[in-house]
Amino acid sequence: MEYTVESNLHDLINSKTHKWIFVGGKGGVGKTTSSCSISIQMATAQPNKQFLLISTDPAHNLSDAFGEKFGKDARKVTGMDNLSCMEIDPSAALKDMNDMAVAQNGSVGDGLGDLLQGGALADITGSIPGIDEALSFMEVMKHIKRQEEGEGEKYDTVIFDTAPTGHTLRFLQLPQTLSQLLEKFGDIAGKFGPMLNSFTGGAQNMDIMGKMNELKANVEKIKQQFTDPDLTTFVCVCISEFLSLYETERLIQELMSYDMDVNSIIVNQLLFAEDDSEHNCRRCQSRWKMQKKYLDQIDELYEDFHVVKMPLCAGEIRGLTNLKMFSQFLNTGYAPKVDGKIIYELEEQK
Amino acid sequence: MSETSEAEKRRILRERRQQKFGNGGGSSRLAKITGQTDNSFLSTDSPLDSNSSSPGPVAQKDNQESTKEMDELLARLAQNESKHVKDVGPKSSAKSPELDLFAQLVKMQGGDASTQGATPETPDLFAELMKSMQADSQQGAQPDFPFGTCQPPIDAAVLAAHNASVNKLKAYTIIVKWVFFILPYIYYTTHAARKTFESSDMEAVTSKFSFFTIFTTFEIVTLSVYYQLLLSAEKSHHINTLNSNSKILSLVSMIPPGLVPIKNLPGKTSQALQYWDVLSMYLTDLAFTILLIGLFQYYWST
Repeated sequence: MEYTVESNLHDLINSKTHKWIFVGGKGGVGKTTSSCSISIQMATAQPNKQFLLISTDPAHNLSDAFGEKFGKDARKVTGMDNLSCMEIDPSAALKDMNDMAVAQNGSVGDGLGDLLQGGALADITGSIPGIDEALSFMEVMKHIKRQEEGEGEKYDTVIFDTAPTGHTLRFLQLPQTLSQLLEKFGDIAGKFGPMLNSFTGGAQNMDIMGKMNELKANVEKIKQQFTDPDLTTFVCVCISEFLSLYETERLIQELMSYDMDVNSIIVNQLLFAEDDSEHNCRRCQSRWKMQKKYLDQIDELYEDFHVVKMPLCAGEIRGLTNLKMFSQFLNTGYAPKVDGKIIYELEEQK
Repeated sequence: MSETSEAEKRRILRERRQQKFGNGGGSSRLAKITGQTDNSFLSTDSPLDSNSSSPGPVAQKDNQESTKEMDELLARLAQNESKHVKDVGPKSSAKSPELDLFAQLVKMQGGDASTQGATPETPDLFAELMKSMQADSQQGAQPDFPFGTCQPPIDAAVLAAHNASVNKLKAYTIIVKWVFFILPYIYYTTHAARKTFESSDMEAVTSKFSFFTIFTTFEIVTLSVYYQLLLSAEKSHHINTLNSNSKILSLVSMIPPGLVPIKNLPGKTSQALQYWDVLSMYLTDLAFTILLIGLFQYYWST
């Protein structure tokens, strides 16, 4: 039976099952705009649900995209009742952990306590490569735990505005890596348990083992959720150029090797020059010709994917109004002849 | 369209996608993309092809290669280099991105910053840990245990039997030494050759054929024989006596590599303890010999 695949994200936007949506791709292709657009459309289509947009990119852009400041604590977007944003700040998160450690264990005069008091640990570990991915992952685990325990704000769907490809893949590897490491630590603790008990006291050792087992259980849960296509999906964002196409293909193959569902591709910054007789310079024509060449290949390679073709707008897509206007094309698809004027209306709005 | 048919449609599309990417499809797709550009240096090795046999989610080490390779390639393209992209070389578990977080903690513990905490003398703790994880996945591989020498668990009864045989060997060595040589020699020296022994203050020590020279020579020979017999007993029982019994060695083995700037600390400690074991036997014999010489001399003089 032949199925036609719609060239929009209508199914995803109206999905009632998805809990985790990753939006990723190469740098500078429009990931943030796409993730913001997806979040806005989902929040608009499903007003009874709560959505959270998290930026895992160390170079956060969500605040710039919406034109308002977001921090490490989720905050509702101004003008949206069911969409919140969060930018994970590694140094702030580490400082919080540092302060918590001081409150629990540190004492003035003690070497470790002094180190913690000064926040030196947070300063040092904040620059560790991979710390952003690790902290983002911890946020994910926190949300799962909160949902199970019914604490705090409950979000039905979390959308991730991810960092450029390499960082994202590292993030996605974390469940598997942590699972292996925790298993190894468990083996080590099992071998040296009696000796550790004699040094640390039995109760403390049990506490550590208990926490490790809890962490391991959470990590396993996340692994299961990330590989369930009804719960998690990855939306690839690209532009119609050679390197972007190549990296998108590699990204999709990597994600498939992780058993992560990928079924949607957003192709950004398309000129549609032949449908725009008014603004059709030679450069645009030439560029559009190049884009069409790769678009044809995209259509051929990804015939079983939802390929959404989005236009290059005349101005920046910033602020909630512009984002709402732009994001509608994700739901309905962009028809150059009909919707062409909108991309110039975006320019006029400040 | 009903929910069931929507779900069915999604499932069918998913299977179609997986089918197209599987069975070498990944590489051919990449080749199709790179083939449209002349002189493309981009790799067409697919992560899916290297992972086609493993079911379920597995974070492949190749992922790091492909990601790192892409980043390097893009950096070179930005600088308009025309060199061929080479493989980045054998993967070092110390450079594993997932371990960057932990490797930096090792750096905090005093390793060389330029090598991210790993030097030839102080191997990366978490590289050792990853090695042990990798070794575990290979059949029959002996894990390179990061916390010291790793012996397979020894049966308590076998260990007790081995310790008993070692103690018996030690006892027999002492008895043979003392009964058949040391005691008679002390008697001879302090009685029959008393005048020679007492004639000079230092002759008993400095003379080529003095008492202590002969005594030390004898001790060296007997202790060497004892040590060889001990080694053969350990070999036959497949037990290292020191590793199994020494509390000092077990504590030293707990110290992770890299924490102390001494290469192979457990090995060196084991060696030192072995030397001490032998030396202590000599010193014990020497002490008792001096005591007996004093007693015999006192007895003969009264």
